[in-house]
Amino acid sequence: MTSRQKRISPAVGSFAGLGVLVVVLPILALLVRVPWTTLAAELSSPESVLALRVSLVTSLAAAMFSVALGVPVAWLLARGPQSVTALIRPVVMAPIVLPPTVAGLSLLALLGRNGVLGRFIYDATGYAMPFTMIAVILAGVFVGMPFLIMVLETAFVQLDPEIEQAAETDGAHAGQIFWQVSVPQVRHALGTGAALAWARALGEFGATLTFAGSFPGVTRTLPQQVYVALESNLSNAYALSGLLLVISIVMMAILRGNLRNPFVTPQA
Amino acid sequence: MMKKLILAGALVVGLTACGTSGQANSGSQTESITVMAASSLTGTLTQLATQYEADHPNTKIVLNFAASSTLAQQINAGAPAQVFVSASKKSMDAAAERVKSPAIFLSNYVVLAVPAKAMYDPCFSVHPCLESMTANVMDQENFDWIQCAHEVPCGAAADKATKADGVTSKPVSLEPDVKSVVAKIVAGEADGAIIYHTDVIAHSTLKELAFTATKDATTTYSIGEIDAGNLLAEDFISFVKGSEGSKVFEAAGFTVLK
Repeated sequence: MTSRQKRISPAVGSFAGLGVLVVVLPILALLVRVPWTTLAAELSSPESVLALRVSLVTSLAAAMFSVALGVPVAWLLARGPQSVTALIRPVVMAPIVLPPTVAGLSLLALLGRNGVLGRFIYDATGYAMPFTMIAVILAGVFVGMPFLIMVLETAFVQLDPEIEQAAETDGAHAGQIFWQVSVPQVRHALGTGAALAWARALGEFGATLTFAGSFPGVTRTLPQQVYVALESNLSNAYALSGLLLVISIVMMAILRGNLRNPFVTPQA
Repeated sequence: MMKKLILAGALVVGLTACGTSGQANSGSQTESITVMAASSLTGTLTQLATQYEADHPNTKIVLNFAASSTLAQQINAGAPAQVFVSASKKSMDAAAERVKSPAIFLSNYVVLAVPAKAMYDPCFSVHPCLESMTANVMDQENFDWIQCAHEVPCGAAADKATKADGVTSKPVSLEPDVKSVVAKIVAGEADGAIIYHTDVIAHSTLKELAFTATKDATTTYSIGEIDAGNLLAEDFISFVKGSEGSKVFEAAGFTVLK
């Protein structure tokens, strides 16, 4: 441990210190402003409870859909023909770096009442997705699933093909190999990916607002409630921010090992 | 450890110093002020700022538009701006610590905006033309309407207007500012939206139904200098309040208050 510390030069050390401060100081300042004495009351106010419920339901649903659809996509990217995956990969990963408002606008362009697809649905059935909880969930899948795909593709690529070959020799068909041999081996990465997808969906703001709007109990998520509370009830905004911050830090603490090495094969 | 901290501190101070001197240099060339203004003034103030810059070489009017309540927050948090134009008295009052003598200079009112092609010409379809027409339209089944959040001026005005007109249905979304509401109704994502009369004037694809309770639907705009003492800010404020400003505001549908 000591020998490692000595290898950090003063220059690197000072920049590292600055870098840490850039992140740590705002977080500390936020913690200072969180109204700890009235925290319970702030978090159980009607608006907070509604936003908490919307956020929990939609982010968990988004994580589930991300797993259900993202695992097969990651498999396709890991094992599919290069010519196909090279085309698909940059597109399905794009939401990771896409500005959330643009993500929301894309969804609106497709599924809005006047959307490329949405207009036909609306004309035929009178159904429009914006302003519904489904829209919040879809926005969450759109921005969150790429994280799961990214982690899981890496994990699938790292798998030892001999294990799958052995299963094939024993007569397992492709579906069995996927579900019973490959997926169990990447369960750590799956956990990490699902957690990242969930957290990304939980924190989503721009795409949700652009595509789903903001109504208490239906589409107003925690981050949106924080933004609205900024106007009227600052201590509520800080209380909810504190909650989101704690969730983020706890999650990163739990995921640390997995994030460093997402493709670890499970202990036998 | 101490050494490292000192080095880090020196770096921070150095960087800050660079920033300040840079600003001072550019200031001697072009004078610049930042104006924080209500979203509903986006079109008019942009036009006036461009006009002012053309009339006064070497000046730069930087505009920042958001919900007045958001801007008041930012001003209280020390935002480096020189002029605040608020869409409500409440938000102007909220910034009273830095904006000492604001003047009320415009009024506007919220209306129910519907797509221009929609068939809600109330006095056509329902006889006689009832007083609470907006309620008739908004309380129809499957009429999805949106408004600003209760916390921002356009939302507060919408709440008062719908209450006074006896609207019983609820909006499907409470957007964080009027820009966001306008964008959604213009995109056709809702059947109706409570926005400002001036927003409807600015969009030919929209038409409006007025609320009966016009007094409740009205909001007044005030303008004031943040932290007194900036000559350019004061000159720009008189320009906006003067005859050139009035012309632009009236053309956009505002009522200019003398």
